[in-house]
This record gives sequence, C-alpha cells and structure tokens, in this order.
Amino acid sequence: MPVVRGARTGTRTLPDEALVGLREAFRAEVAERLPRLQAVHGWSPPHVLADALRDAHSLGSSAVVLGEPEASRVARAIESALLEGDLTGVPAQVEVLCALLEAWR
Amino acid sequence: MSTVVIVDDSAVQRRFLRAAVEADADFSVVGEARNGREAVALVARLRPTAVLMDLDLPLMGGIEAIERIMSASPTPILVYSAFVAGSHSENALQALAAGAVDVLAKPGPDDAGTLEQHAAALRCRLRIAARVRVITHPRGRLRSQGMVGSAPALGGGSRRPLASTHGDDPLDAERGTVKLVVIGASTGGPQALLTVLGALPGDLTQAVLVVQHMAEGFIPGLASWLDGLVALPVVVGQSGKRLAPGTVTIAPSGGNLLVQDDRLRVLCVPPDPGQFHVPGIDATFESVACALGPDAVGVLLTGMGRDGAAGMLSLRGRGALTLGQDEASSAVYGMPAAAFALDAVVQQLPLGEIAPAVLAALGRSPVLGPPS
Repeated sequence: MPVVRGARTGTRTLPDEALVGLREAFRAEVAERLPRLQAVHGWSPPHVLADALRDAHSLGSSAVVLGEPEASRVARAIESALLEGDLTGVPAQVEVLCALLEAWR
Repeated sequence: MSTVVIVDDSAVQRRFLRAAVEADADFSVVGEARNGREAVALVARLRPTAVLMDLDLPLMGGIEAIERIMSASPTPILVYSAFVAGSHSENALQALAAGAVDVLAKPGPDDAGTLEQHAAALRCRLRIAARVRVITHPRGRLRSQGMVGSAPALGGGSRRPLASTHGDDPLDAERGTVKLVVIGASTGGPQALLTVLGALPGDLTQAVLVVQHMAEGFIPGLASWLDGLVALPVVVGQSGKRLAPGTVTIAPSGGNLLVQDDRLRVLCVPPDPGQFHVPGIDATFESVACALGPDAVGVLLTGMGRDGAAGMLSLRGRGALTLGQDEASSAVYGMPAAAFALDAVVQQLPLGEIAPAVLAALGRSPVLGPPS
C-alpha cells in the first residue's frame, strides 16, 4: 500500500486509487464552488448566499482531507462571516482562498 | 457483510468515506446520495445495514432525512458532519433525537491525527453503529400528523391514565420521602431522556439527576436542548453544589458525579483508571444508593454495555425503586438487560411507561399527552 505524506495530515495509507480519486474530486469541487464564492457581494440575493454558505462549508471540510489546513481555516472563516451576515470582508477572504487553492485550479 | 449507504453532497467526502469504509472487508458501500431526498429513497430501496450521513445537505436537510428514514425504514445512522462539534453540538443532539444512533465530527484544520487514523476511528464507530438494533422512530410520523413541537407529544405512551395500583404491584411501596430520581442512559439516550423528562411536570418537588454517556463537550448542548423542550429546568451539575429540587441536573463530562449526602451535595471526581464510559453511571448510582437508599428512584435507559447495572443492584439493595427500559423500546438493549440479568430491576417497562411509574412512586399523577 502506498504511503503519501500530506502537508499536515502526516502518513496516509489509503489506497492509491482512492487518493487519486480524492484529488480529482477536490479539483472538480474547487472548479465548481470557488467561482460561486467569488460572485458573492454585499447585495447578493439569499439563494446565492445560501449556496455560498454550502460552498464554503464543503471546501472547508474537503481541504482538510486533502491536507490543505490553511485553506480550510480560511473557508471556515468565510462560512462564519456568511452565517453572521457580515459580508464586508468576504471578497478579500475569498481572494486569499483562491491563492491558497491555486494549485488545484 | 455489512452494507452501507453514504450521504454527503461533497464528492470529496463521498470518495473519502467510501475508501475509508471499504478498507474494512466486512463493509461494502452499496449506494451514495447527495441530498436528503435521495438518501430517504435510497435507504428504502437498498435497505443497507447502516447509513453514514452528513447533516448539511441540499433539498432536504440531514435531520429531516434521519426522521424520515427512521420512520419508514429504520436503519442505524451514524452522523458524520462538521456541524456537530463545538458551538454546533446542539445539532448532534437533534440528530440523536431524530433517531441517529451516533455522531462523529469531521476533522477540522486544527485536529491532530492522520487521515488514516480518522478513517480507522470512523470504521470503529460504524462497526458499533451497524450492530445497533433500531426500532421505528415515531418523530417522522408525528411530524406528518402535526404533533411534533411540544415535549408531551414526544412523550408517547403516556396518553392513557395509569391503571389503578394493586396491593402486589411493586410500585405500591411507600415512597413518600423520595428526594431524588436518578437516570442513566447511553446509546439512544437523548431521545429516551426527552420522552421521560418531557412527561414530568414543571412543579416536581424532587431533584432529577441524569448521567448520559457522551463525549467531552457535548453535555452543555444536551442540557440546552432538553431545557428548551421539557417543563423542568435543565442544568449541568457542578462539583460542590447541591442538586436543586424541581430541576434536572446532568452530570458533566470528564469525570464521575457522586452524591455525597442526603442534602444532595454533589462532587465531581476523576474517572477510575481504565473506566470506559465517562461519566460513569455505576459510580453515580452507587453514591446515590449510599446517600439516599430508599429515598431515591433509579432508572436505567437504553444503552450499549453494562454500565449502570451494578449501580442499579446497589440501589435496589438499599431499598430504592429501580426501573429498567424494556427491550422492545430500547435502541440498544444492553445496559437495561445487564441490570435485569442481575435482578437489579424492580420493574421493566416500555419507555413511555417509565415517567408515569416514576410519578406514581412520587405520589403524583401522570401528565397526560395529547389525545390519540
């Protein structure tokens, strides 16, 4: 069984094909969800904010699995801001998230 | 071979869960759902051994999906979600109340441990969950009948008046001096506690003490959740304080809560070396047996293992009334079965009849639920 070392998660012993599949899935998730987060602004309608909340939440959880803890922290911060309805800092946080996930885009 | 359905809207999580689960040759993932609606339909069609369920789902949320699954095709559900840790612990209680058998938090960015270690922990919890014998859960049906929303409606089973007692009924014993009702619960406990506590009146003059097996950090959420649903105030116990009459006190996590004397002063002590369940039910029950003897009522509800059985025996040995939940109404008939096997249970009852029996022992009339 192959051993892959992640940035934070240490030694993993999941099957190789599973790790390849996880990377593919995360790449697709980033491609799908990040643009929706980039589209959020102060006057976004509720359904856009609801989707953005789920996008931030999913990226936050998935980034942990892929060994991207800093991206996960930023995604969780975006999620908290969306939950609190304070969108002022969200665009800047999304830009940080984009930079952290650049390798996955 | 145990079959598993995975429910998560994230393809990454579904792939991770499939790999983590199928690393155990005894498990086979037979289906994946991306939202609550798909989950309900898939579980009804495939009838898996167990379900791994996220809570934050589109179209139909996880809590509603759990309710519907447990109403239509009861299946052990292990909730796997980021929305159950820390400030979100109340979601965990809602999931358990809806019928899930266990809750596991997804790893966060600051969690220690490797992904493989987390996968191993997940498999361990899933193995346990898959063995739980679940029963049809009423909440989904009650929701469809518009009866969910008040604790008495969830109390179920107390809709008829208690039959008049007879001389040979063990509940006829003179127990006019009862000061404390002590309740132990584990797997399936939160929902069972809601049923029992929800059927107790708000003007109860006795103290109620609850020991629920629960991971560190979840007890305040349990107390807050119950406090919003039952008539009695619900608080978390504090070392050195006295248990208040007319109040439900929940033993805090991280140690054992002991009742020191008949003035109901409590002390929190570290768990015994090697103690598997914390807080421990046996430790609390035995302290109550010593401090109060016949002036206590002991209740042991659903749960895996045998914690509480020895404590029930001590309570009974000191003259306390002891009530155990019966097999048919238990999510897991482990602890009550162990107590019953020790002959520590004065009376074994369906869940809905436990609160009326407690009230009868206290000389009170049961609180009637809504008409059926």
